[in-house]
Amino acid sequence: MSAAFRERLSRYGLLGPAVLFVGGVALMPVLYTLWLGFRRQLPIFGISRFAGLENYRFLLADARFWNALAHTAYFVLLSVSLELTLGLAIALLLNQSFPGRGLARALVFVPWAVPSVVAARFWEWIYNSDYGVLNYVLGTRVNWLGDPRWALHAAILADVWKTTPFVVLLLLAGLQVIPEDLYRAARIDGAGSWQLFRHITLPLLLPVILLALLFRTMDAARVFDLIFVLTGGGPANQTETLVVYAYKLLYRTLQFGYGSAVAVATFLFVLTLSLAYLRLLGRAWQTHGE
Amino acid sequence: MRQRLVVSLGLLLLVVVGGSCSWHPAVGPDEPVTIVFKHSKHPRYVALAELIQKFEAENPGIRVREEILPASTDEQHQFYVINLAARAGDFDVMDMDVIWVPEFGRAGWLEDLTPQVSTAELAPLNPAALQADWVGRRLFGVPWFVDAGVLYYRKDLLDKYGFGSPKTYAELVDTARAVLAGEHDPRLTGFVWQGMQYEGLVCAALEFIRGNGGDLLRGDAQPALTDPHTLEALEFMNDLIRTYHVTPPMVTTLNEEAARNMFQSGRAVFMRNWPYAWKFLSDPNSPVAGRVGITLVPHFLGHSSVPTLGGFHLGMNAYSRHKREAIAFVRFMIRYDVQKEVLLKLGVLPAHREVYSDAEVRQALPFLRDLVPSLERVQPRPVTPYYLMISQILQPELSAVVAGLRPPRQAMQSAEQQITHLLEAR
Repeated sequence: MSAAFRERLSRYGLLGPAVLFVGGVALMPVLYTLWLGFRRQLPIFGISRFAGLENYRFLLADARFWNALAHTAYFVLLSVSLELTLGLAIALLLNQSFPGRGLARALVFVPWAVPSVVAARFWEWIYNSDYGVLNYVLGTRVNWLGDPRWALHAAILADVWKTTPFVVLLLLAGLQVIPEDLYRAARIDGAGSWQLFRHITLPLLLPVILLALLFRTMDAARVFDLIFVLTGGGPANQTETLVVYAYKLLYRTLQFGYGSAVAVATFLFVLTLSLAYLRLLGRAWQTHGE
Repeated sequence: MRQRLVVSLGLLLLVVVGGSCSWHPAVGPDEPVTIVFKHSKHPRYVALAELIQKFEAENPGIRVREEILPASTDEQHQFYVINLAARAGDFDVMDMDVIWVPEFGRAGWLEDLTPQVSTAELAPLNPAALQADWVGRRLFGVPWFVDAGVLYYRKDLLDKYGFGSPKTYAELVDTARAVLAGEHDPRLTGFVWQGMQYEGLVCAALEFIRGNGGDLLRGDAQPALTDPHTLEALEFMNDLIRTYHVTPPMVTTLNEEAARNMFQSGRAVFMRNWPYAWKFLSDPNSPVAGRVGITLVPHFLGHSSVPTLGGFHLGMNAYSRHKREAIAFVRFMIRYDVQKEVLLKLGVLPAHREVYSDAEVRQALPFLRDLVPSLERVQPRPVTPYYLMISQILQPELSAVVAGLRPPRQAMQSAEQQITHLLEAR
């Protein structure tokens, strides 16, 4: 055995367990789902056969799927843009030095530490149309979770509350690596605070902003627990998102084939969005990365 | 090289298959067999241990191990589906929501009990509940305990305004409006039920529909959703909210517990719910204790009351390795004396009808008198292996009616189209 061969062997040998693990835990289920998507698999009907594109053809005509896709897109757009705007504002604030900053920083992260299901449970109480604190504060009697016009917005607000801290965390980290000298130099040159923000903070923070955008979009597009607990997709499917729909197909009605097709469609939706961001991110790194 | 690979693969296969065969321990005649009983956390389920001890005393060769299922019925269903689809044989007796029995049976996951259970054992069980266990000529489960939709009413308020408990929906609306007008309490509402988009809405809606002579399906496969009786009943559900103002619009967020909380805090005159609510309402700490009555769910004029059946059934895993022992346990659980203990110790309503005329039972639980008529009139949700799929189609459409988003005809036409498509694909 030559030394080169032995080295190559040990290199691959050492990689082996990791490859097996990732392959078994991550890749296998994904491929299996992909394969199921091309099958008609209904254990109750005793049906298990190859179906080609049948599921995808049905999907194109399935009003409930498009309804779920529209809600998912709306959820992503609104929640992510709110989280980013709010997150940036809070991060800038927390980056200033003021008395009690440590406490304020700790408090801001509390919602992120609460598990989604628990958060959803107490938002359920906040939104309760009779006892809920939201109606009490506003002096209204709005049926937040039961009115088709409000329910999705109520879910978005709860998501914003829950995940803005995550955005703050990322942006704050990004802000802290911007060298203080840059600001000092700019101030000597007579720059105002808007100019400091516009020409120093924003460009240098851009890669981090895009990263936060990427993470949040991927997460928001797969929203499940929050909505599942708050409304279960109701009223009248007005809050049903892609993953909630896929869950119902797969686990409540055992349509393994079609459910997998919906899961694959969700995956493609998330993938498309992510690739678009990654491209933007790559460009941002190139221009401002160093 | 290649040959050696084939041989070693073959050997590997032999080891795996042979190994799995030898998993079944060869049980000697006097070694006890352990069967696993999967059940959910029913109220006072701790008392099950006593019943199991009794069973083990009677059957010295059998040990029963309890294994508790996840808390929500959705997760329980998911547990069974995942495990049974993988042909898991590590549990023997299954505790199932009544609506899963035909589905699991059709999937081949449940053992046919017809050769094992005699007609004499089945005869005293609630016939409507038993009906839900038959798929064709095969019996895939036995009712363990039953549930029925009931109407709770505020006895004190009805007495105050000189009303008896309502029989028809028209009487309910009149009574509720008179009480609401007299009480001038902005926090009091008339009639609450389960209006959230979930299984409970189907149960509640079915009582309105059948109370008007309509139904969801004719036979086990023909949708009857655009039948005028069905549409009229759904129109009425919407009218309760938007015309009579007897049901609050927030009914679209109510499940069983949310409705019970409202009723228990004195915020509703009437409530549709299951019998479980009784023990909470009559608890000494409950604000409405002693002021609540139970009666049949209402019906429309010229029709009769049809409460929806709920409850849990026992079945046997088709992949069980101890079928003889498992069936003994299932048969034990539907015996008269055991069913009586199911009522007295577990606090759930047994499927055995004779228990309700037992002198000791009548004395211990006098409120049962008002409950028995509901149990006698109960009807199961459509008994079909496709029920869960049909329900998933119906839930959003019924929710659209209750939320006032679509008129009943439009919603039901859409549901009917989807169901027809689904059943055609069988």
